[in-house]
Amino acid sequence: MPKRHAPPLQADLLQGTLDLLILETLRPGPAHGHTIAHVIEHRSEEILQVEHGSLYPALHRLEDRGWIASFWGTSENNRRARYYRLTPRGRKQWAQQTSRWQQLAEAVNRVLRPEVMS
Amino acid sequence: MSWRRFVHRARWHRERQAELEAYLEEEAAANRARGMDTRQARAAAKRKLGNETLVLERIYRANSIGWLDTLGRDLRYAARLLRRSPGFTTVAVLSLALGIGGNLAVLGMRDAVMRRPLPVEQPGQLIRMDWTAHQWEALPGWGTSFDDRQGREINTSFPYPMFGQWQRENHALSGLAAFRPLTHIDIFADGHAEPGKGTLVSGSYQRMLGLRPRLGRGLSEADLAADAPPVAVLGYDYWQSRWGGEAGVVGKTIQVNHLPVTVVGVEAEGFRGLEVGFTPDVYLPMSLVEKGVMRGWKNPPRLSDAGYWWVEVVGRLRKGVSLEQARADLEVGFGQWVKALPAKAADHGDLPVLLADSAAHGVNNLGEDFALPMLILLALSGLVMLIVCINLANLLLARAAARQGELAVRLAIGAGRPALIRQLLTESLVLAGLGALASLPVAALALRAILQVFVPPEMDIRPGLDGMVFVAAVGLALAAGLIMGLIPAWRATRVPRRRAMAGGARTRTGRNRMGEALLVAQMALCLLVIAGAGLFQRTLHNLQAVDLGLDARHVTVFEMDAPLEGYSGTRLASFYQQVLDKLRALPGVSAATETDLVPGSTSMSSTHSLGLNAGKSARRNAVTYVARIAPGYFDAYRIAVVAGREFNAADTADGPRVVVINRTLARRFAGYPVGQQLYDNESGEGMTVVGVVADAAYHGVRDMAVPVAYYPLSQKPSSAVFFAVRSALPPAALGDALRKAVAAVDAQVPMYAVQTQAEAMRASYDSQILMAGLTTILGGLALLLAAIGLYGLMAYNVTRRTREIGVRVALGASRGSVLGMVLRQSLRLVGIGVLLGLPLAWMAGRALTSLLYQVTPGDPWAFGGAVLFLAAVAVGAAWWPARRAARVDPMAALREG
Repeated sequence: MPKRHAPPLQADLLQGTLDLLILETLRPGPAHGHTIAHVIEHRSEEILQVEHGSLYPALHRLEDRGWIASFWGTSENNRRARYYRLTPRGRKQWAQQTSRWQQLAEAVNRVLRPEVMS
Repeated sequence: MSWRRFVHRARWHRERQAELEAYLEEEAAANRARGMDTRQARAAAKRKLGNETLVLERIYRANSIGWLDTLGRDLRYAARLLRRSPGFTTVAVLSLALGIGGNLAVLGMRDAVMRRPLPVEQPGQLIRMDWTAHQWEALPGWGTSFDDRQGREINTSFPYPMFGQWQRENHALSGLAAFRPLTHIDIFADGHAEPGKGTLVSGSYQRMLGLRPRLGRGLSEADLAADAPPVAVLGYDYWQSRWGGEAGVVGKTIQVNHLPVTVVGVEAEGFRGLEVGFTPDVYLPMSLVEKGVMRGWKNPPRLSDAGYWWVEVVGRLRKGVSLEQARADLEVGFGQWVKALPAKAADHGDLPVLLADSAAHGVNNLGEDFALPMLILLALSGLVMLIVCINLANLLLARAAARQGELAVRLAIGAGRPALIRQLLTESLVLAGLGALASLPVAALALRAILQVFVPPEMDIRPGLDGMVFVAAVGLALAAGLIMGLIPAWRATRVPRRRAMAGGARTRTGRNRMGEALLVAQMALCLLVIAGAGLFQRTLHNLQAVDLGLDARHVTVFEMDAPLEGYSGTRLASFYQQVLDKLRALPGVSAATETDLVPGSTSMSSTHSLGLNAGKSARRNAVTYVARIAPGYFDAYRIAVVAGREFNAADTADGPRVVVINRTLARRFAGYPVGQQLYDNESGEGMTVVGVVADAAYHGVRDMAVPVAYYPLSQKPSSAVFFAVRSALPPAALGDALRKAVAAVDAQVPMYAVQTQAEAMRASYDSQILMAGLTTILGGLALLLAAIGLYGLMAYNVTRRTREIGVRVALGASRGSVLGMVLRQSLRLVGIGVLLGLPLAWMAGRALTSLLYQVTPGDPWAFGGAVLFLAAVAVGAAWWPARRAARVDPMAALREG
């Protein structure tokens, strides 16, 4: 259920964040665009409203960099869909970006709530 | 990985659409599951996805080689525009082709003569040894000499034992090799003889250079042993051209000057000897000289004579040793050597100084003569290239101005300025690229012309349009494209939009300052090039006007070397005498003579030291060139006999020894010593001076005052001789007659190098002719470009000012005053350019001084001529635009405005 008191964030405001979310989504296994978009929405409890259209350019950018690869497959509903999976280079990127993101998040938290941290 | 997407674009696009469609279907299905009807479900899915086209567009931009697509679009657009104005495109491409082609030709020439590294192991380590001395004639021998940049006469030869001592005692070189070019030899193989070229080499040659023979083996120390069988290695080019690359040649016996030698190998491909421009057909061990391969050369014993200077020496630096360290190290032995020579050579108190220079690009006896001229040509062709660029920048500027409306529209509907600049730059780069393509045939033609017209045929110089030149072409084209494109592109896109949209370009009356500034710069550069060409033309003119001291017209010369065909002793003398008699008997021949020295043709000479007893114990010595001549020589060449007489039939082999000296030598003896005795300081032999003759241009036109002593051939026979024939017959007919006359005596003895005396003497003008010719071509090109540029600018200005001119005419300005106004403007621009160019040209002239002959850097003829030419261009190029301005119909102009 969407939490009405927290207005949804536009994920594409944070370039790079979307990249990280896509990598994270693909970590368990290949998925097509529709799944990826919904997984991100669900797992962020719908705070992160990915504009589904902006997902596709991001997918292609990542593929262009060689972090993910794509293939045509058949969806759960028996439809032809473009699947994406992590490449070894993408896995490395995921590890790097995740740790960097966590450092960043901790640092920001420390600044915002010094009384809790100290 | 992105290439596929780029190349199969349509398919790629379909796939992306399919991908988005798959999303829509998934989402719509999910929506339906939540209870929406089909249409609603579809619409909601579309809302969720967002603007489909925009998404596709953004996917497209995520592609890393999207720029290629933009480039393709820009290129297509540029091509369309250029096709639409074929006149402009043709002029632009042609002038670029001429500019770039000229540069490539000069680069290729320079590369061939001086920059191409020798195809040997580590050519950078190779050095050559030379020496210089003020009175270098003191040392007997045959060597090549040339003048270096400081005007020193550099001698390249050393005694063979000197080389041997260096080989044993030096700390700076890991190896040394000696060689000696043989400019003509007879090679007899498979039943017929051909003239060829050879090189005598030391045993270390092959190994020191690190050459891998193409076939068989190279020469080694063992081949130089006194009892070693005579062998030869063929040059690769000769093997290809004469033997068709046949492998069976190894082991065959050929004859070099009648000496049978066994071919043991074929030299490495691409290796053309160490001397630039001299490609040996055969490489022979040095020791063959003592086995009689050069018949006239047996005395003195070349390999052991410590005082006979005749071989050239190259060495390979040890790691970490500098050129100067090596020179200092070798000079120790050299100094001792020179001091130990018989006193008479060292008498002059002026010992030779050893020099060392890099031989990475080959031993280059032309190099010093070519280096500065080539640099100047390079600079001039660079200037012409710059003029081309400025010219095109101006043309493009005018075009861009004409397109201001279009550009403004494009800016207004959202094209970014960078995108427009990119588009305009693409256009100029396309032009430059076309120019570069068209420049390749231009360069090839120019090189052919340079080779044919300016390089003596016996020189084997092969300028090629190789990779280096191609890279240069691309580089020049890029530079040209940027230079000529950036200014117009930057300016054209700076237009205030509203004003340009209002269609103002045509009615703007402000001056075209940028265009004018470019034109002034162009005129200044043009003056520089033309004045430079003028200086060289004046030099050539002065050189040709020099009184040569002889009359070269109607004299034809050729060379014979009868000892190669087995003549010797009295048979030889009588053979030459018979030839001479036949020549003299030819109809139409007014004089014929025999000599071992042809004026102007030679940079090699043997020298003697002569002494004159000047009373009591005083003795005057002088070192001189020597020439051996037959009676009738001075008559045939029309060299004035100043005192005494010339040789005659009475000066026989057994008669009293006689000598004729020239004025310069007489001056060294302080007077005309006719009737006195001169002594040969080497042999002690005395001879009577019977005559003194005027100086003649033996040693090139610039240096007339060289001492020469003439001996009668009857008393000092020469193995190889030249015959000189004076006749008014046309050269071709005379050549045939000469061949028949010689064949009547002995058809087996070949005649070498049949040429007119004027041709023989041209060698001493060659580099001047080259410079004058090439700089004049460049000057003409610069002038033509300047005229085009000026015409373009004036025509553009008149078009721009049509309305203003219409107003002037309407208010009563006469046609004449309008004409004058335009011409004045043109003259003013050219005038400013000339004023800026003159000091530049004067400074350039000063840098050229060493190449000029009796011409001051600010020569009034050259400079005045250049200014006049430009003034003529100023009027000529502006004339048509001015006429058009004068004919402007005020009514039409005003209505149109």
